[in-house]
Amino acid sequence: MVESLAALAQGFAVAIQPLNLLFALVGVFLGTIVGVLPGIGPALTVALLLPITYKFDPAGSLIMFAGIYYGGMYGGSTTAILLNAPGESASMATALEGNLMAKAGRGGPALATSAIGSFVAGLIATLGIAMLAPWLVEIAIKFGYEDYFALMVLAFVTVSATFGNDPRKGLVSLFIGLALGLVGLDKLTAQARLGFGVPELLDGIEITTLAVGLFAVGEALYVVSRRRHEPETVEPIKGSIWMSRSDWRRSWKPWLRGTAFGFPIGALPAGGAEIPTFLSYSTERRLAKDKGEFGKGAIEGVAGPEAANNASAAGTLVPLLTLGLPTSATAAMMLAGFQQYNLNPGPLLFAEKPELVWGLIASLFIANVMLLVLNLPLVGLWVRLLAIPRPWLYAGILIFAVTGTVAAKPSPIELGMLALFGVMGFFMRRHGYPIAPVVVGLILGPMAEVQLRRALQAGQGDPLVLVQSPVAATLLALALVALVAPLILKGLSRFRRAED
Amino acid sequence: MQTRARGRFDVAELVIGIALLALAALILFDARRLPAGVVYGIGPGVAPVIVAGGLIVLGLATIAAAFWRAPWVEEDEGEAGGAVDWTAVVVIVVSLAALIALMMLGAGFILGCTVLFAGTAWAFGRRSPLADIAIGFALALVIHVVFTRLLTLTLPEGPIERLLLRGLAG
Repeated sequence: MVESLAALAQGFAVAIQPLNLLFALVGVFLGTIVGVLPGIGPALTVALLLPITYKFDPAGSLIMFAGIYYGGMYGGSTTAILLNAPGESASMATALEGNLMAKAGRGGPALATSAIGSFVAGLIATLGIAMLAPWLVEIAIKFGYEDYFALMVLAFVTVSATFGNDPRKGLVSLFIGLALGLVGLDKLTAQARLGFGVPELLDGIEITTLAVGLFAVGEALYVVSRRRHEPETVEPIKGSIWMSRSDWRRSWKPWLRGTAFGFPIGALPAGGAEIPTFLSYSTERRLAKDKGEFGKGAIEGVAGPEAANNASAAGTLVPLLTLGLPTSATAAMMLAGFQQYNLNPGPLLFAEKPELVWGLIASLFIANVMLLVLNLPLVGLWVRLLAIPRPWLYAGILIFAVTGTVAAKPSPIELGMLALFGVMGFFMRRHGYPIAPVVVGLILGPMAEVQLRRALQAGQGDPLVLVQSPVAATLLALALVALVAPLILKGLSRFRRAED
Repeated sequence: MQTRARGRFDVAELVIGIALLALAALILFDARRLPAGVVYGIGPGVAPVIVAGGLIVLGLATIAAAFWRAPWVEEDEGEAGGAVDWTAVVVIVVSLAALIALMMLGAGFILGCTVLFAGTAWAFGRRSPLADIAIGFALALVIHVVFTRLLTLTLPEGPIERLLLRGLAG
């Protein structure tokens, strides 16, 4: 406790250097601008803005990342409220009540409760990171190869199969990601796999190319394919943007409850902010004094889910920073941000570069405060961004996607892959296959392979070594439960419905 | 899709299932020359076999899902389905292909992006190509200047970029 406060103080000393403050400010601003654009979630925001940081030093760049990450989250909720176009499924609950509030002329208080709720949640969750991280690092440092492998297997299952509608589709997405992860030189023996003699393929598939292709190009294709179905209207903000006394009274408890749902679920290697946001939404509806208001624009239904969403996003940073384990598409993009400097998050990074890790954590606090100060006064600017005509918006997004890709790797083959992943993303969305497991599979697959092979090597080839450690055995058992339980539960409930 | 009756045939799932099997075959074909073992433990040839194995199982399951719906799958399949404006999709894909071709021919970043911008705007229903070409050109120009000057990154160069370079230097 005292130890982490001291480390955090050291982090603040890094973060409040003027240049780093500027990095955080630029990150927050860009993150919000890109995040506000409809159809762009936080993962894509980070992926699109990653190339901008290529030439910066690691500390400044990661601090900017912290800003982009939180900014992207805030921007997404603004869009959800004013446009009813959630950029990601985690904003769906916000869009539900928030957009109705905006339609009823209460868009201002909806934005305010979402901004302040995000701030409260971000503050508590970031404090949670600072408290939990040193403790988890202590545990993680004792982890063997087989424990890491088991942990990654668990993450594979929870990210792809546990929470989706159809576990098969999630697993298909995951295995596409794993297959893409095979491409390139083998990490341990430097033998080429699936290279087909193309030099660009030997470096492996760039995670940014995959993410930008799937999310940006795929999204543009998806939206254009059905633009005749969904007319969109931006709700103008009428009246005061500030919350009334009764708004405050109705908001503060949902903020805290939302945070209590979001952070632990985000911090477990379970991924996905959908569960905590919907838990928070249904809890607030159950607890509300005036239940009739839900479904017509209840402020509790915005305050709770928004806090849950932000707390959960911050929570995913816990496994990312302490174990190097990305459990969401956004966390995978953050990991890519680390990897461009050959930094691998995990217990070693805490020991070797504490100023970097704690500087990043301190920057999360700072970004959070900046967002609170910036976001509400600039609401007029965000509304104008939402009013960009769709043709120009998506044409612009595609140009940014191309720019990021060629800036990272100036090769027509890279652009060809971008287009290919875009088409793949379009068909996946159209047929209900989730995107995030592909991204997580690509980045986590090769890591899991290395751990597996090292574990077997250390165990002199005996496969039993994988279950001999109690930690590994428990984690693998959990993975099995996480894979099978939803099938049984859903099958049962369906069976029961059929009985009725 | 919401109205899809139990047991009705789904072409898309059949195609996806076959594609997964093809991907597995490709991985196995590539992995056959990789050593499976090293002195202790496993070599680089094992992970491809594991992944291909998973893809085969999932491919078969997907083909099966084309014919029957699994008992644990909810009825509502969300946003999928509905009429698709294929012309618009093809226009964007062709614009992307044109951009790649232009870059391979050395036409540079700005020209390629202008084509992509105008093509995408057309696909989204705009019918004033001259205005869109002008906007796309201006946007690509700004991005090029910011990325190459401010962020010192390299973007593909063509005649327009070289002209610009000379203009700025002179």
